[in-house]
Amino acid sequence: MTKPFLAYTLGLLLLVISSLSIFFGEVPWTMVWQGALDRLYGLSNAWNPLIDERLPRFIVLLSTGASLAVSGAVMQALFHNPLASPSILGISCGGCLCIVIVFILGWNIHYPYAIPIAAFGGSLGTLLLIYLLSSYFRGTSSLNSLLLMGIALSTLLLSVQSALLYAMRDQWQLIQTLTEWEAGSTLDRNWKHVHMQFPLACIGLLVCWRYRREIDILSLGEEESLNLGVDVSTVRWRLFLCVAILTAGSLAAVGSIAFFGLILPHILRYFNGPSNLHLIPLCIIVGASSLVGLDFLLRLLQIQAFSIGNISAILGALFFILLLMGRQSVTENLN
Amino acid sequence: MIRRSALFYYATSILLIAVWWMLAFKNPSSHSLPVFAQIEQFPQISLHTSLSPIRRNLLLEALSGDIALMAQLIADWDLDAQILENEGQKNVKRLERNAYLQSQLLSRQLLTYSPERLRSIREKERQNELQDDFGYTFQSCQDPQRLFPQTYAAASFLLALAEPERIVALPNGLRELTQLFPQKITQQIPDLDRFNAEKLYLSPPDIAFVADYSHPSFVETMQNQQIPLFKIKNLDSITEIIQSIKRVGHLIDCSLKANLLAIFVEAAFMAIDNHLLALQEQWKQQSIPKVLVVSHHSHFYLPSSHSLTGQLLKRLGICALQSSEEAQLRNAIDQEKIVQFNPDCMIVSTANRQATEIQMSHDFSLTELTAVKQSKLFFVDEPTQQFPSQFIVLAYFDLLHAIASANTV
Repeated sequence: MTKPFLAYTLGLLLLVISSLSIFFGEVPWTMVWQGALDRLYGLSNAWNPLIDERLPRFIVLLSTGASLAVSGAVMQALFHNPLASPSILGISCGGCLCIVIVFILGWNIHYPYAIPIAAFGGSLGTLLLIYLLSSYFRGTSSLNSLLLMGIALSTLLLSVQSALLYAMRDQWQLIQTLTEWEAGSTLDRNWKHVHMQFPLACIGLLVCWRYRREIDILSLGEEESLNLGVDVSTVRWRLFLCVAILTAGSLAAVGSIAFFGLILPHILRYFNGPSNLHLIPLCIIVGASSLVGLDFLLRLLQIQAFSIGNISAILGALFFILLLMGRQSVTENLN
Repeated sequence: MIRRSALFYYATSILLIAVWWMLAFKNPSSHSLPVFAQIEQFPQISLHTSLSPIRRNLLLEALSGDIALMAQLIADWDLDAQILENEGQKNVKRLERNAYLQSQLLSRQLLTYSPERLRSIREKERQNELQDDFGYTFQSCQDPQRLFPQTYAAASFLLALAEPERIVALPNGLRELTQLFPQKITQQIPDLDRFNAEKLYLSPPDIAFVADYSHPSFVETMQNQQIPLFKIKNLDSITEIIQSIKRVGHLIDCSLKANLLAIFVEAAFMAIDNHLLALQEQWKQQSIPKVLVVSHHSHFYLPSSHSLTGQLLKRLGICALQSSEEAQLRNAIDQEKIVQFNPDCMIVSTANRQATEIQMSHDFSLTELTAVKQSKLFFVDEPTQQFPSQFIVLAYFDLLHAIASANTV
């Protein structure tokens, strides 16, 4: 049995297990199922936990998990850096800032689509700005200039966000709302959130899957990729666009889920090996099922104190430390 | 140049997203929730024909420092309690005789005595040393005129006890709570930047009230400027609020009015409790309604047991939806749990009723609730619920009022 096959099997198994989450909730399943059947046959218009809460939440979690994992894998391949993630280019910071502005202006109340548009606009705008600014440094290494510009811009965007929040510090209800949103939550997800995210996730994931071979080659380096006939700048641009829309969709639907995109590709590489050919589809399957599973565990164990964003950040940060320690010990052994 | 095929893919993707969003969000599904009752629409609790009704606007005026009204209401409520006792009602709450007499005496002194005579009474009561909430001994200064509240709670007490011209600055957010502090009062107080140390140095206050959560460096700056600091810890209970009113009043040389306000807060809670007794009598004849109290920001949240609202709910005898361990935190509650609980009366605490109403009107699950079907959905003002000040009486009134209205609507 090959390693990728084992990984696919495990991923699909995890997906099946995590899908069971739609059977669990406060309302007993028999009632839920009867209500759902009544809705389907047009006998009732009543709210149904399965149709109106569990299913949209499930789709949102699948889309978010897959989007974040794929974004992380793509960024790590493009930057040849195992610590890269969408936040490293400031893409998620741009999306976050625009969503914060939408909340401050109260547009989210009257216009539900303001959030995905803001996330998309912010992420894409940041990406364009980075490209524009980094073009000044084309003489040196363009990838390094992109990276540096991304770090600088994300610092700037975070500072602007902090300044806005500081200016609004007396509006504690707003601060409370933003804190809840920033924590990343899957509570009360409905079809509105699915509509926000699903088209973005579909396009982003499809393009990343389509370019999985190029991603694999790009991870070898720019020169090698050019020699192997890859149109580096075009492919890179399109992949960045995909990362932007995948990140925007996740931000709009769930909020901030830190570190998820960073750790999952590493875990999958352990099973799959360094090749990105299988990593992208694996990230889609395992990323989707992991986030559903994590949410299911939180609900099952009734862990109320933390949101899924908090747990993901804690686990991710611990893994990050282990990763750094592991690299250090490998370096020492080589020496 | 972008190739034609690439352009096709870009255009198709953008078109797909745009069309999807247009179709999905063109007419966001909403439903009208029947009768959103708001507390202000029902300005009084009157459950028992022989009891005097409790009017919200009068409570607000009294809590803002109206001496005559405080005395009048205390007297009315004492009479109500006597009537209930005469009717054979058990567990009636009433001020102790000494406290009642003291309140009436204080109001007479404050309304009729000359300033000199009042000063001499205060001098007799003055303690030279007071301890703040952190155990530091505070030397009581003579007649402090310039007062600087750095917290909402202290500002609220000062606005009720002292003249506005004595207050140096107010927390900015407090000015926006116009439902509690009328603009005509807060506008009399200069808009001094309370974090600007140099401005503060130019017009130094005689005393500043800070909290354990005040910015440490700013507190240090004030200490360096030798501004006397009185530290008040976060007020978590009604008893702590009453104690703080008395101590702040004592410090700013308004001890008589502070004592009256403290007695009034206690009496108001008792009066509302007596109305609750009448309500419980009604419940004996009907079934006890299931009440759900939530706050709303981006989701619905249950108040924690140690929050002021949590304590008020316990006092009202509203059964908790979560276990005592869970209730230690302010937990989010999802739609399914709300639907499963299916309250007969739902009280939503929000700072922005209009926004919450719009958001709730898009929440399809709420149409399933008995509370919504029977128009027993109420909004209460969140700042009033969470604000640790004398206005906690209004928070208690609002909760009981919603429950009482649910029984009668």
